[in-house]
Amino acid sequence: MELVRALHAERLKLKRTLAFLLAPVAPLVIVALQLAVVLDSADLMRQNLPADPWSAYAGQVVFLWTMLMLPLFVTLETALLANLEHANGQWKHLFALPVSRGAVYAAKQVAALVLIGISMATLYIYLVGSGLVLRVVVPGLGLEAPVPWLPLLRYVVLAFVACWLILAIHTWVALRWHSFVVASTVGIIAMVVAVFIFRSDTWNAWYPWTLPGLVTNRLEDNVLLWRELLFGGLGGIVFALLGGWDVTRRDVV
Amino acid sequence: MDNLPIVTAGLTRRFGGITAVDGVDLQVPTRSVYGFLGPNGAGKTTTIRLLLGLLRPDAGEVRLFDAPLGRHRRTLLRRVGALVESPSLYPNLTGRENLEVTRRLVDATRAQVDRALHIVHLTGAAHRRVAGYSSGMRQRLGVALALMTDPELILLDEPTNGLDPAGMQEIRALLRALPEEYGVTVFLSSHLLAEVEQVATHIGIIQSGRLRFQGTLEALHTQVQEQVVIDVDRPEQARELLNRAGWRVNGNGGHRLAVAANGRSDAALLNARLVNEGVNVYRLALERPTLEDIFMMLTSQAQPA
Repeated sequence: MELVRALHAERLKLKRTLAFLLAPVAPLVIVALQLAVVLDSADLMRQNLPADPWSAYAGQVVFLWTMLMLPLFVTLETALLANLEHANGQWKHLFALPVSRGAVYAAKQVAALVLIGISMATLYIYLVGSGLVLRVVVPGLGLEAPVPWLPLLRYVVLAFVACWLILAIHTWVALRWHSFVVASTVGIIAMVVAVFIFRSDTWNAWYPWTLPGLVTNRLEDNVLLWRELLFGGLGGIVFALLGGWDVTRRDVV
Repeated sequence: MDNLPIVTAGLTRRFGGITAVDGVDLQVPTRSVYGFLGPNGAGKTTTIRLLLGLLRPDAGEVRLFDAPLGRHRRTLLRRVGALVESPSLYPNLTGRENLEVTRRLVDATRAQVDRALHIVHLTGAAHRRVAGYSSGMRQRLGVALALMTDPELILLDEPTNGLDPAGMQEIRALLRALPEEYGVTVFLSSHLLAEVEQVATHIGIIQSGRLRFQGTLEALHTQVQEQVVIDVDRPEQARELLNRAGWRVNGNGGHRLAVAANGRSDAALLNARLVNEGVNVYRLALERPTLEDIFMMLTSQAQPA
C-alpha cells in the first residue's frame, strides 16, 4: 500500500521532465539506424537470405539495442530519477516523513523498471513496424512472410528480464552517489567493457551488461540461455534488495 | 515533565575526529516556541537531523513525546513536521504539486494541502511552477510542507534564511500563531538572537556542540548579573586589581572593562578601590547586559582545547 502511494508520488515528480519522452525516443534511434543499414546493404542481404528473416531482423535490432543503447539509456533514466532527489535536497525531507524508506527506494526501482519497460514495449512496436515498412520499400528480404508476433515478442521480453540486474545496479549507483558524474562514468565504462567481453565465452555469462545481448543472441537458433536469463532477472531482484538495504540505512548528511 | 515533545539525554554525534554534538540534554516544553541558538557550525543542523532520525547518535538518546525515536521512528514522525536547511522542493512542479507529492506519500487529505497553502499565504501562487518562486515563497512553501500533516511538533532550521524583512515578519507572525492557534510546539534554530528573541518562549544556546544554556527567555535575562562598565586609563592594572579583590572582569583589550557586580553598592566600592590605587576612572555605568551581550558571552567562551 505504501509502495503504491510512493509510486503515485514518483509519477507526479516526473511531470515536465524528459523521463517519459526519452522512453520511446531511445529505441527509435536504434530502429532508424538498423533501417539505414538494411537500405544500404539490401542487395547483399537479398543474396544471402536467412532461414527466418523476421527473427534475423529482430536479432539485429535487439542486439544493437541491448549492447549500445540500453546500458546508456538505463544509466540516463536512473540518474534522472535519482537526481530529482539529489539536486533539490530531498532526502532530508523524504527520509524524515513517516514513510518506510524501503518503500521510497522500491518506488524508484519500480519507476526505473516501468520506464525501461515502456522503451522495450515501443521497441517491439518499432520492430514490427519497421519490418512492415521494409516489406514494402525493400522487397525480397523475406519479410513478406507473416509477422511472427510471439517469437518477436520473446526477443523484447527476454532482453527486458535479463536487464534487471544492470537496472538494479544503476539504480543503486545513482541513488547512492550524489554526483551525476559517478553514475555516467559507471554506465559508459560498463558499456565499453561489455562490447569486448561479449566475445569472450569465458566471461560474458558473468558480466551483467552482456546478459541482455546474450539471451537474445541465440534465439534465432531457438536456444534459450536459462542460466544467463536467471542471473539477469533474479540477480536484479536480489541486487535491488541489497541496494535498498544499503541506501535506506545510510546517514542523511 | 511527562510527555515533553522533545527530550534528549547525552545526545552525541561525531564526524571523523570532530564531535559535532556533544552530550546535549534538550527539554522542549509543550506548546513552547523553543529558540535553538548558536553560531554557524555550532551543531544546530546536526542536532535537528538527529531529532528527525536522519542521523544516528553515537551516544545518548532522542525521545519524542516520551517515546524513543530509535524504536518508534515512523509513529513519532507522524506527529512531526520539519524544514531542514533549504526547503526540499521540485522546481519542475507547481507549489500545489510539491505538496501533493508529500500528500501522496503520507496519505494526507487534499483539505490539508489547501489549509497549509492558506496558512503560508500561497493559495494564489499555488498553480505556478516553483522554478519561478522567489526565495521567500520557497521558504514559505517549505514551511507549508512541514505543516501539512497537522503536526504537534514542528522543527524549523533557520526558517528566515534568505528572506527580506517583510518575509521575515510574516514567518515570525506565523511562528507566534502556531502554538496559540494550532497547539503546535515549535523548535526553531537560528544563529540570530534578535530573530528568535521576538518569538521564542524558551531558549537553548549551543556552541561547539555543547548546550551552554537552556531555559525560559526570562531565565536567560536573570541568569546573568548586572555589570559595571568602566573606562580607565590603565586597564591592565585595573583588571589585575579587581581580579585580586575577587571581581570577575571582562575586557575587550581597549580601555573599557566590564565587571560582574551586584548593584549600586558594588559599583561604588569598585570605584573607590580603583581611585585609591591611583587608577583614573573616566566613565562608570551600571548596565544590565542585553540578550545579545549574553549570547555573545555564552558563545564566545574559549573553545575547549
